[in-house]
Amino acid sequence: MKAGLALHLEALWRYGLVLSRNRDIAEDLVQATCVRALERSHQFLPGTRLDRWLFAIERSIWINELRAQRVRQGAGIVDAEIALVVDGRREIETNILASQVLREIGKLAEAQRETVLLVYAEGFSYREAAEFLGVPIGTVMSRLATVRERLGGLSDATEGREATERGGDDRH
Amino acid sequence: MTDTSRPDDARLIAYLDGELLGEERDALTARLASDEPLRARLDRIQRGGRLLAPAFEALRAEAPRARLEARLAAAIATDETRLVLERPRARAWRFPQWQPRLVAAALALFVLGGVAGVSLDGRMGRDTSVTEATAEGWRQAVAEYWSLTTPDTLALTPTPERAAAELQAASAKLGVDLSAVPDAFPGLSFRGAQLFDFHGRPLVQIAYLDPQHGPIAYCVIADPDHKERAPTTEELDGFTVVHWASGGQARLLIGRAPAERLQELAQKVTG
Repeated sequence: MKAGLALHLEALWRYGLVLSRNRDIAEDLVQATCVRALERSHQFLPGTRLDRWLFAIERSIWINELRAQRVRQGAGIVDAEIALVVDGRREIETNILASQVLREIGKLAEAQRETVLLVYAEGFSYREAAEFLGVPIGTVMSRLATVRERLGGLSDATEGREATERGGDDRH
Repeated sequence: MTDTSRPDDARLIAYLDGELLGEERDALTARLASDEPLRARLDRIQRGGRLLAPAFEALRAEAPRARLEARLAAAIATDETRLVLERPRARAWRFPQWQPRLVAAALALFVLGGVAGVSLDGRMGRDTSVTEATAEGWRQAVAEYWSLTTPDTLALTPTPERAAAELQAASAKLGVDLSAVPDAFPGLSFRGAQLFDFHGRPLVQIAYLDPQHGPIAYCVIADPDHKERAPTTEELDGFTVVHWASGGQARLLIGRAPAERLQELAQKVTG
């Protein structure tokens, strides 16, 4: 279990960050998830996916323990949009687009953020995501549609700008 | 841009994600062949989708790996402590066979628990049917616990404030003034006091580091029988132990030191 946890720390952190949009809380979530997983390691079914089991624990801790606390503390909305953005100091060319995408995801509702993460980053099928989140498949689909619609616009804008810049170079 | 009312979007996404099957898939394929706006819509959604995996990958690369590993280590320490505290009562104090796990747990208790009121399985309580509950069993228990202690366990010296607080709590529990014990043994460096519970009897363990012989502990336990016993030397689990009793407490010194050394130290506190 300990070795398995070490393999999934980064994925747990990313899920925690997508849920909470706060880096400190994401770390707390990872630790709390590890504690709970060690405590309940006898409940894990060998042969099933450890990462999914850990995500379920993390989600439950977030919903039942930390989210309510964060709301009570009146955590800021301002940092929410930039919380997912990759570190600016290391922002190289390819990460500019990643940052824009993450900024867009950061603006979404929590349910949409986590659905898009599970399906597109963690490889859940629609059915698996629906079961994990306890919602109908249609709900998963409509959440994904919202996100991809927004990002489609982002992609248009980016490609349009790149085309303009290339055009500018050609003229000189 | 955020118009989500388009009824085909979800279906288009399912199509792209390989989640649309059978007739539904065939029908959509047929429509796409003849419906230019629908095809443009599909392209747009596909471009948006392509951005997601790299963005999430970039986010994962941001994970503070070292800090997360420290968080995992802290979680493991928490869990080891829980295992110690939840051990079945019949196995209490019988942990040599679990040693690797318990070395970490003992360290965690020492570092995290501090002193005032750490009860190593206080719940094992007053079960006098357990053989260790005999009047002399406490020395064996101390020897087993002390076998987990290394110079590294005692690497840190408590601050004077903390030491005073520890000794005050221990003195109160035991009803004996222990405030002078840090300086009671010339040549030994005081490393903190811990309060335990042995079958309902408060037990204080005061740790020292001897530059020559390593960890040495001075332990005091309440003795309801009020026995009187002169200092006696014995060997327990590879340790030298000098123990005596008077005035409602039993006491011992334990360490991997020659008998003469511990007897000499014992004289400092027996008067």
